[in-house]
Amino acid sequence: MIQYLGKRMGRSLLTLVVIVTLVFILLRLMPIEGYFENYEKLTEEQIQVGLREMGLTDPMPVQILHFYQQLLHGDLGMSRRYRSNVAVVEILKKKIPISVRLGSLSILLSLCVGLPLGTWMAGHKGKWPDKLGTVFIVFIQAVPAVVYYLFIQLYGTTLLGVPLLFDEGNIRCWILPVFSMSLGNIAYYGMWLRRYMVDESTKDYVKLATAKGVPKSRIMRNHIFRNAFVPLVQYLPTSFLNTVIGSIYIESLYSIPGMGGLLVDVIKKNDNNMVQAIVLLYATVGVIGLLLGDILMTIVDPRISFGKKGGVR
Amino acid sequence: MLRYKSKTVSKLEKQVEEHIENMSDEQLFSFAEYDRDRSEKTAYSNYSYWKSTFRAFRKNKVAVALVWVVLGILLFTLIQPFLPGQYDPNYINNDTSGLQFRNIEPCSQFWFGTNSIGQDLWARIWAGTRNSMMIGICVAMIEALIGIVVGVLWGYVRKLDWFFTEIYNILDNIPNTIILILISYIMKPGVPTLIFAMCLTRWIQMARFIRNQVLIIRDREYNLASRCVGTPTQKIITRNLLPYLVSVIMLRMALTVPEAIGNEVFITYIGLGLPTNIPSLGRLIDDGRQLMMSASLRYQLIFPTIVVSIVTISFYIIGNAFSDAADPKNHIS
Amino acid sequence: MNKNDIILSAKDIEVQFDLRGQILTAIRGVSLDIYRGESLAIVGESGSGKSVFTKTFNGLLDANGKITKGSLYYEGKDLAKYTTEKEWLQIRGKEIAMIMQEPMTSLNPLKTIGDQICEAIRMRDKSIPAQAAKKEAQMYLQEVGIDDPERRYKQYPHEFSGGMRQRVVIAIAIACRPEILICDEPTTALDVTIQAQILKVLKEMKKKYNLTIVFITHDLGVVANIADRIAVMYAGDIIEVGTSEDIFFDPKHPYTWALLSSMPQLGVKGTDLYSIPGNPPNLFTEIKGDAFAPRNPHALQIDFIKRPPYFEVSPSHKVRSWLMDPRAPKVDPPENIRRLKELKTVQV
Repeated sequence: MIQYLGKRMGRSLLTLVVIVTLVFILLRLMPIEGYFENYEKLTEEQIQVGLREMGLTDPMPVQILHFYQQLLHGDLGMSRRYRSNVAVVEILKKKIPISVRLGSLSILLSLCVGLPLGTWMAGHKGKWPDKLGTVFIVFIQAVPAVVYYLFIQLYGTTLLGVPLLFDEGNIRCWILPVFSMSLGNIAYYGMWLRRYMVDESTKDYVKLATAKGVPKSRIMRNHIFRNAFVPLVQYLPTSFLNTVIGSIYIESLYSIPGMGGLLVDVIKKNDNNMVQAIVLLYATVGVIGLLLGDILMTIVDPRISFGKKGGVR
Repeated sequence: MLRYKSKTVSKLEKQVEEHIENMSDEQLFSFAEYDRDRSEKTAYSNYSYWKSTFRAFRKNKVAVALVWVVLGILLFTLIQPFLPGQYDPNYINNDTSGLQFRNIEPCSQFWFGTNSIGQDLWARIWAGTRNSMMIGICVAMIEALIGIVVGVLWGYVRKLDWFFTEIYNILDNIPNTIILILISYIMKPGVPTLIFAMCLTRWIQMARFIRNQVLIIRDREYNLASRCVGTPTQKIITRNLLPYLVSVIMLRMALTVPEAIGNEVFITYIGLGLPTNIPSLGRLIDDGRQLMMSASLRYQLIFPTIVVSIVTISFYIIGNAFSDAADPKNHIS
Repeated sequence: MNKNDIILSAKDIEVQFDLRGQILTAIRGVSLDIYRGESLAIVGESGSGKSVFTKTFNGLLDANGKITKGSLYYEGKDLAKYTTEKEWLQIRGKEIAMIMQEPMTSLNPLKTIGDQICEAIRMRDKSIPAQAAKKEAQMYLQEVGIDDPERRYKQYPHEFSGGMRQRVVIAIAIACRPEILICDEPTTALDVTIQAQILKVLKEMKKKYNLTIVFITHDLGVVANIADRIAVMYAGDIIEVGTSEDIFFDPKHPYTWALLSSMPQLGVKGTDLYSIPGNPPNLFTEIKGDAFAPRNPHALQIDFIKRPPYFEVSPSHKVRSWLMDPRAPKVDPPENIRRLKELKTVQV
């Protein structure tokens, strides 16, 4: 097990190093305005001094080394254009808690609705609950999210009588963002759980369980659901982390002061250091999510033996 | 297999039956001639994969209707600029006194109204649909092309297996959205940038799929069996491999189009999309969004969203219906 | 075996499947009595309907199939009329249990085998306390020949080999304490040496728990090993039924001849193994006369016209073939079948 975990984590670390380095190099190719608060007003001389101060005139390998040194000290650089000369870490610290709260609520709602939806559809395969659920899933999966988010915001706010923009203190303001954020995950969990349950229900062990006199409801719950849920477990950490670090759409639509909205803001303001930090954060979370998913799989599925399946999924 | 029985046939059958009833025991209990063809006749035969696939697909009326819808839309976006009385999607319409026709609600002159700077929405929507669909189809084709080439190499050249597997393990770990944002942020906004950003890592999934299929040709028992009885490799590929391969490639391509449109909408929304002089569905939706709070201008949001929904849902359903139809398990009868 | 003690009686059973609007008649009017305590083998080639037929006993037909005609009496109850799950739960397991062909897939991969045996025990009798159920389950494991049951009890299916898993499946079936045990090709997926072990376990269990065993197989070697009586199925119909001696040494139906001739044990060294020419009939179409007639070199004119009734050769031996009609010309079984009769000592 130690060997497997070590190998798996080594691979994740390698991936991260590749991503970090690539992102760093790519962003150095950007126009240099992104490193100055008020580039337009600066003279050529001031710009050169600034660049030198920030170490941007050094050769690339030196820059990368320097960047990694900073990274190890938890320093992600300074924001220039979004906030003037404030440490990126300080900005993120303020933004993360609200995204975490929003995301946790939404993932909870997705699981509470998505799993029963999938079970319900699988239990009534081919009948109207299945068809109804399919229509919902097709709509959510096919139509770009921003389209229905907009309409939920447009009509939902009127319906609930809440302001268009988010107000942290007002509980009712949380309803629409959380609901909107859940829709995608509800459809995802519903669709895959249904598919896996339908697949599982034709398996031989289900026939054997039926033949030994186990009622269908118990088979559904005790045999089929558990087996169908295993492949979803792998995706669980990723979807949890992705939701928790914020939905880019939702947060900026409702002007929620979280991580997701921040990315859009800093892109619009061309703040290179901020973009770099947030992109790295998202990438890290993505990599960690997959890693956790693999580890979780080895726990829930006794068939996966440690060491044998190093990293190949 | 149900066969249509004509009246004459049933009449004939009746005559035969009467004839039989009049047969003597001696005749009845005489040996019938053994007929080899007759003994083989009853087999379930003349199965053709593609015929069965299309028959199964045709049974899905919704999907068939949507194929016509998509083809219709595609065709219309292509011929629309050449129809009489169409506006240029980027032309700013002025009235006689030189003022812009701003935010004019749908009327006989501007069928879908005009936007906030007086451009004709009807023309913009069709131009936008054309551009967005072209982007989607391009992404799907490039993805398929790279995916197939790399996949075949990956599967056939054993020395490359390790190399590509490692690349896969890394690329598969990077969230797609991040790549999309990063590339769009770094590169100059435009159609090539978007296509490049979307294709950059997507092909690896397709390649892995193809690679697995190639391994299957080499190793799967029924293919080994085919080879043992002397079936030429070419026939194994066309009979056993290609059907399954093509159906999954088609499915992925069909699902790539709505995804690409969704990505384009997303990228435009976060401010990294196409320039305004290249109309796209994402641009139109984002323009509409900025005006959505005033009820009288909401048509500028609603028209593009309807078109986006129809196109994406159609592709999604067609893709899934096709992959269902391509599954031999659904070919009974 | 008491001839009068019929445990299950099928009368004129017809089973149809609805495949996307087309009707497939899988079982075409089958009648069969099963006696308490016997081992009955149902033999026939793939698709002959032997599995489908036995699935009607415990209501395991797929959702698109149903019994459209006939009756199926088990202890005074007509199972053919059962429709609800609640009714079937009275039968499944505790009255009629089943063993499937694929030991590799018929166990739930995520549950320990102990859990899966205990579930069967608890389904039979909910009042058994957990500790007692565990003890009982370990006893069954021991009985089917699994050493160290206490350790094995806690293991998952993937830690067992194919033969061992089939033993576990048998233990589960036994844990239901059924009257009838249906074994649907239980040894087909296993190695020959393991096959023999599994058959031995089944025989022991039959003796110990007074089981009635219905054996489905296409392997006549297995049949000779275990069956008291044999029913031969072809195209959804039982065309010949009799004791093992009847079927092996005095077969009457041309299909039974063909089936026996295709046994590798009967082949002559240096010659091709016999195979039955032609294909089984398409069950989507209505079958006229004797279903085997088109492939039968001895077919009579009437075989294409009228379905033969059962002719009684002896009280235990019935055949559905016009060849048995007094008006029919006399046809001798093929040479190698007669040889089988002469060499009664042959070990098949």
